[in-house]
This record gives sequence, structure tokens and C-alpha cells, in this order.
Amino acid sequence: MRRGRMNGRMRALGVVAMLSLMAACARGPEETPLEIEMGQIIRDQIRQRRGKAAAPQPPVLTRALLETIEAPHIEVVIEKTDLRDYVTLQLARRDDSPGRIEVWRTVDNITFGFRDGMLISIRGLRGSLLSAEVPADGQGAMGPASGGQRSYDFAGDDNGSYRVQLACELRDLGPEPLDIVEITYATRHLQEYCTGPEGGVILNDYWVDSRSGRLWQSRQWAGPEVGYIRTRQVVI
Amino acid sequence: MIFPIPTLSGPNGGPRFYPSAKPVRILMALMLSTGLSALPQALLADESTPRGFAWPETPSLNFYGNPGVIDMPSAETMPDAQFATSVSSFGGITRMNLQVQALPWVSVAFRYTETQDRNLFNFGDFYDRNFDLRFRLWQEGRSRPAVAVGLQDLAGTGIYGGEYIVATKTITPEALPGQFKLSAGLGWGRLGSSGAVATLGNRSGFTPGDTGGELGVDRWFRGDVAPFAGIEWRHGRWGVKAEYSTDAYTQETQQSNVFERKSDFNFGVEYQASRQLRLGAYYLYGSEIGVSAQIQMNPRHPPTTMQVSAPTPVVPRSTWAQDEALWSEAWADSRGARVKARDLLAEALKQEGLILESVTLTGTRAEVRIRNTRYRSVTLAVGRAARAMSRTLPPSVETFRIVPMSGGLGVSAVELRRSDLEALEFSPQAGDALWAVTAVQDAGPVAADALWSEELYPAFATAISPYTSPSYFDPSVPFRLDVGVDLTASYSPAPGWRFAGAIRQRFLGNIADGRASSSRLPQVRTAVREYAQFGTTLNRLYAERRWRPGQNLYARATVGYFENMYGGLSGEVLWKPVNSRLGLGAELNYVRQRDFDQRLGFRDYDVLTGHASAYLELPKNYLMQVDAGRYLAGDIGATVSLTRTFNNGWRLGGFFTLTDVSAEDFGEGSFDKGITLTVPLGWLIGKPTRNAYGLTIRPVQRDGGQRVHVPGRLYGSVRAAHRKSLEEQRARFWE
Repeated sequence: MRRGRMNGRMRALGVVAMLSLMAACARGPEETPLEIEMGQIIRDQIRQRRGKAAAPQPPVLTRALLETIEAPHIEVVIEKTDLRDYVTLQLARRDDSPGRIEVWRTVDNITFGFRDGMLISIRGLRGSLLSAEVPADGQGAMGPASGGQRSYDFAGDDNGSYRVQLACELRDLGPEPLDIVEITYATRHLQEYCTGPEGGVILNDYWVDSRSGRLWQSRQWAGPEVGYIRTRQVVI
Repeated sequence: MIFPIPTLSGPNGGPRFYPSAKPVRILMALMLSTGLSALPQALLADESTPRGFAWPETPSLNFYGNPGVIDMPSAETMPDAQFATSVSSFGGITRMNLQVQALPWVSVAFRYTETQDRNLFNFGDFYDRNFDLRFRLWQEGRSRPAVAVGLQDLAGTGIYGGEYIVATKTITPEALPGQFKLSAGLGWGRLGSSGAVATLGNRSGFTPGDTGGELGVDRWFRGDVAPFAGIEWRHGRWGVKAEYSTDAYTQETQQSNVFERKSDFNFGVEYQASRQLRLGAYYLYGSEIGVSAQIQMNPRHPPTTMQVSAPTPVVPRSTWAQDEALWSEAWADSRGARVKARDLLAEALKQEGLILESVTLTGTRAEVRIRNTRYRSVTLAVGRAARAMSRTLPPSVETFRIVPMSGGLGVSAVELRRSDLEALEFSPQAGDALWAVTAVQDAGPVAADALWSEELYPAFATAISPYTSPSYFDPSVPFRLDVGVDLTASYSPAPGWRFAGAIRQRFLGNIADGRASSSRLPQVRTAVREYAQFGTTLNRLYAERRWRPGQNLYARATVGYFENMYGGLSGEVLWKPVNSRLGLGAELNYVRQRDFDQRLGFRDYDVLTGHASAYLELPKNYLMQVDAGRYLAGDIGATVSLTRTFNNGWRLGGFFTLTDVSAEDFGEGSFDKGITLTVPLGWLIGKPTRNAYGLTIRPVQRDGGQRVHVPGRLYGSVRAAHRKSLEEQRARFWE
């Protein structure tokens, strides 16, 4: 009897708690109360879990499909999670340092910044690459111009950043024909062989067009959190 | 043209590049571990997620929540700032432990214990709260073991009182898998009660009926001494432990019949279920099965890394304003042009989750006041605002002044040059580079010709949200809880003015069933039970005015019903220069105790209470606060609190209050003391939010040394936007 009442009470408590989490709402230019924000998080989680099965798949690329697209696109793949996306150019500019800066953005607001094709920033992913020093010479050909020290700043610690410094050696692995969706480009394969302070090895690979100097494809380290990313220029 | 259907995102447009972590589970576990809720969910954080900032190695804990074996301690030390909650139980003895590594070489612990059928002082089941202190004497070296000394249950009744000095050596034999940790030490008190080899002086006991609360200095390291030892083997996620215990459990096995102690040896197996959670099963004292669960967290290592939507990059004026005519300052003479600039800016800020309060525009200069309801990091909000300004304001504006606002008050001003923004965004070490050319100043008054946001004022906000109201350590039930719904509303007719209130409807709860309290003092805080008798209450209703009386000065005046127990008048003044680590404040309140039904009426008790406060930011992000003045019961004295703060919003602290009330009049505990804990929600879920769980735990709630809770005290919001905090988070400017 008593047990039954307790169970009933607990159930009522659960129902009330769930209902109030669901019904809770806030409006106006004030901070949202904690309980409401928690309710939103739980709802988002449920929705995400439900939506997972129906997640759209990336398209299969064909040259015919690419021909129909006008705006420049690169393909970005995050190796660790095997996620692929096609991103558009948000900004191209120069600053006081050598090299052309490009910022590429996904539809859901993740950006990748490059200087002469070398990764210098990531925003909107867990584990932001805040800034990086790269060996760009701005002399035409993209990709690394020399070996030497590389330095990356990542978001971390207590709302701060931490720095990773690598000693890199530039290796020219020679000419390599590169196939991107039914077109073969004559490229030169450059590799940065980098070692960290604790002896870890990081490899950055670049496939640079032998004539124009354009970077067609790369595989670059994006930090301990994101891992390696691969890029391919699919639409110029 | 946009690429056809290359979307990997779910229907809600969530991040499509990354699998979601599991924040809800962590959330629930935290609520569980901090006693906020009893949601029975285990902590299973996603440990497959890579960590940029390496996670620290951490020792396993014993039944007291100390680094140790099973019932005996070891000399290991947790990583700095580690926060460990654990629960252990065997033979009818349950211990809930909270341990914090306050400094690299000092840790403190708070413990709540339940002993079934103990019958001490005729209580039946016996509940006790105790504090520990532990010091690392030296770290482990190549051949030298680590050595630690600890004071267990160092004050008050000393039921678990024991002192120890212990050494631990880690051995990794090549022939065997895993790692061995050998510990050996000497114990006094409880830890010297079995197998004693010597006696050092006389150990006095606790006097029944005493109010407790005093340090047991006269007991420490006195009486019988016994050597104990233990071994732990760790391999991957698994650990095996064995120990020789020197706790005779005299009180539990001889003075009462809690369990039977048949052996000196204990054994256990532990499993690391996730990065945070470790579970263990044990066989203790030859007769009892025991279990434990340990959750360890570190404020520096969020379970989910923060993910903030990417900002729009700065576009240099040289690329879009090449025409000389565009650089004219003439636009600033036209009110229409300035209003247009304001509206464009407001829109751009809105995209970043910020609210424009006002903007003052001249041909070359812009001061923007922003309200930030999204980001905990003020630096991040300032960075977003700067970018919004750079893409909306006419090219002639070169100086940006960004003023973060709190409650209608400008709290500081960050001044920078637009050309620096344009030049440095992609430079190496961009955060440091920009900060080097940025100035932080006092916000100063708003200019007379400032354009206020027409959308914002009068500002009206409402919320319906559930609430939980906990009550701790009633002698019969350790934890009581009320739950219900709050209807809150606020109205702000102009900057600095605010009318706010909350109506509370309780659905369920058991605080009303608590024990009536007695006190020799006026019952200023112990009438919790009486206040809990009513289901529908006016929780608060007040009018507040905040203003800046002068440079570095902040002021607040509040009138109304401040909290469920008190209403009245309150005034506060704070002096805190933006670049200073010291702040000084004064608060004066005239309050009356509210009727138990918490509607509009008052009871007979009124008091003039107020404090002079000093706030000092110490190295290592310690915050020291001293408040001296008159408390609610009319007692005069001072509160000292020391809090370790983190830029991400974590706060771990302790406080005590000494007043002219005698220990006898105060009652159990002798004086007011407690611990405070704040865990930011953003740290748990990895999304920007300003919310946090806050918790203040007192071993005993009495009436001496109590303060009124006035909403909107100044220091917290002011400090977060001052130089130290802004500068330490400079990396987030560009995030």
C-alpha cells in the first residue's frame, strides 16, 4: 500500500518534472533560466537522436554534376570522424604577411582558413585552431615554401589557448598525376615532415599543380582534437 | 550557386561536421553528484572524443574519497584543481565525499556519513559531517616515494578522526603487465586503533553535548600509532587493490553492532567506466561486501569541448571602400545616417547573439554598448561585437570602443583600432597580437547624443521555468527537496531601472515535513520548515536602480521583497577600478522578516544589517572576500571566504563567519561555515551559455552570521568584465 503510494508519487514527480521541462519557456532580452536551457538541451538531444537515421548523405561526385556548379567549392573531409562536406569561399584577402588568405565556410557555419592553401584557422568545430604560422612565400605557387618551425595556437585550457610547435622538414616527393573526379592533373607532391617536442610525427601533404601552382589537394593536421583534414578543390 | 544537397546535418541544422557528445548524461551525473537531483543516471562521458589539452593522470580514491587504497590512504595527489565526488558503502556505513585539490600540494574534503543502527547519543542511524585536510610533503622521484600527511575529520565530534603520514611508490616491472602502487604509513586515532605499535601521549575524546565545530588540535597525532599498508595494481581500465587496515572500528563493532570485523585485510576490484567514472567492488574486514563510485572532474578539462558557431571574418576596408568619397566623415552629421548605422549594427550584433544597448557615433569614433546574454566569456562577446562593427560602420570610423553592460551599467570599455582588427585577424598568435594594441578603461558615462536601441527599451522579459529548492542535513533525512514552477517577469523601462518578480508554485516536496528548529537567537534562517508550508508564494518582487556615481564607482538601490524570507530596502556602493585587483564595497539594508505565507505581509522582526566588503583577486585565480558588519540576528562580526575561480565559470570555495554570538548561543557547529560550488552549464555541454549550477552547503544551518540575499549584488558582474578577466581570455577574442 505504502509502496504503491510512493511509486505513484515518484511517477507523478517524474511527469511533473518532464512536463515543466517541456512547457518551460522564456522570452525577452534577459538570460534564459538554467532549467529552461536544460530542457532545450534534452529536447535537442532527443531530436538529434531521432534525426540521425534520416541524415542526408553527401552526393556522389561526377564531372557532369560539377560542371553545373559555378561557385568555387572545396571538399573537406575530417578523417577521424569520416565526415565530408563541400564548402564555399567566404573571403579572400591579403594581409601584411605573404600569401593569399582564403576562408571557406560550410552552410552550418564552420569555417576553415588557409594561407596559400595551408590551414591557419578553424572556427565552429570543437577544438578551434585560433591561429597558425605557416611557411608561405606568396611567390605564386601555393603550399609550403620552406621547412622550419611551425606554430599553432588552439583554444583550450581555462578559456585560453595552448601552443603546439613543430619542427618541419620540407620534402619534395616528385611529380604525381592526381585524379579529381574524372580529371587528371599534373601535380608535384610536397610533404612537410614535422616532429613535435615529444617526438610525435605530423605529416602534411600537398599536391600542387606543376604549371599554375594551384593547390589541388591536401592532407593537413588540424590539431590534436580535430586530427587530420583532407581538402580537394572540386570546383574552381 | 549552392552545391546540391551536400548536407550532412540533421533536420535541425545542427553541426553536421561532428557527432554530438553526450551532454545530458554528464549533466545528470553532475546533478546526482552534487545532490541537486536524484536522477539515477550514471556518468558515461564520451571518451572517444580526442583531447587537445591532455587529460591528467589521476589516482583512484578510497572509501573516504581520498587518494588511497580501500579504507586506508595513499600518498598520491590528484591533479591541481581536481574535483572528486565519491560514494562508498559497506556494512551499513555510507560515506559521501567531496574532495578538491585546492592547491597542487593541498586538498580539502567534505564528507557526509551515515551509519546505520549506530545508536550514538540515541540517534538510531547516525549522520555526521566532517572535513579533512591533506598535504603533499614531497612528490615521487625516481627512487624516492611520494609522502603525504593527512588530517581526517579534523574538527567537531571527530567520529572519523584520524591522522596519518603515508608514503607511496609506483613500480612498473617490465616482466609484468600494468603498474603497481605500494603504500605504507602510520596512523593515529581511528587509523591507529588496531595493531598499535606505540603510544604517543594522550588522545582526548569528544565531549557529548558539546556544540562542536572547533578544531581538534589537542587530538592530532596523539595516542596509539599503528602501521598500515596497501597495494594497488592497475592495468588499463582495471585495478586490483589489497590492504592491511588499522581501523578497529571500535565504535561500530564494540560500542554498537553495526557490522562484524573478522579480519584486518580488505580486497577490491575497480573498473574505470569512463574518463570520469570509476566503479569498485570490495570485500572488507572478512565479513562485508562494499561498493564505491568515484567521479573525478577537472575544471580545466571540460567533458565536452566548447563549440561556438564561426564568426564572420573582418573584411578590410581596402577591399570594399576603394573610392575616396566613401571615407568622408560627412555622414556623421546626419541623424538619419547615424540611425541607419545603428540599425545595421544592431542587426549584425543580433546575428552574433548580442543585444545593442546604445551607440555613440562620430565621424571617426564609435562607442557601442552591448548586452551579452549568450557568452560567458566577455572577451569573446567583445570580439564578436568588434567584427560586427567592422562590417557595418562607415569606413571613416577608425576607433572602436566596446562597452559590455550589466544591468544597464557600463562595466568597462575595450578600445581598439579598426585597422588593427583588419591587420591582425590572420596573423600568427592573433590573440596576443591584438591584445597588445587594445586598451581597457573605465566605461564612463554614456554620451548625451548616444542613440539608444529603440527595440530594447522598455524591455520586458518573462519566463516559466521549473525550480528545485534543496535543504540539507536535517538530522532525520540528509537531503530534502521541493520542486515546482517559477513564473518570473522583469520590466526595464530605461537603462539601470528594473522591476522584477517571481511567483512560485510548489508541486511536490518534503521540506515542509522537516523538523522544527529551536534557536537561542532570533530565528532568522532556521524557520525553513515554516516557510515551506505554503504552496503558492510570491518569491520576490522588487524595484532596482543601478547607476554609476563616478569613475570606478558602481551603485545599486533596491526596494521590495528580496527573497522568500526578507524584504525591505537595500543600498550598495562598489569601488572597483578596471585595472585593479582590489575592490571595496559597502552595503546597508533595512529588512523585515516576511510572513510565512510569503505574500505581502511581514512579521514583527526587523533589523538593520550591512557590511563593508573587500574583494581581492589573488594569484592562481583565488578570490578572497572579507565582509565585516552586522548580520540578520543583530550579531556583529566578519565573514572570510576564499574561492578558487576559473574563467570558464567554475568556482570552488569555502567560507566561515565569526560573530559576537557565543558558540553556546549559536548551537551545533559553534559558528557559521560552509562550502560553495558553481559548475557552469557551458562547461558541461560545450555550448555557449551563461548559466551555471550554484550550490552552497553548510554542515548546519543556524541563525548566527546570516545575511539577507539581495538580488543583483554588484561585484560578480563587474569583475567578469574587468581587465584581469578580459586579458586572461584574450585568446577567445578571435574565436
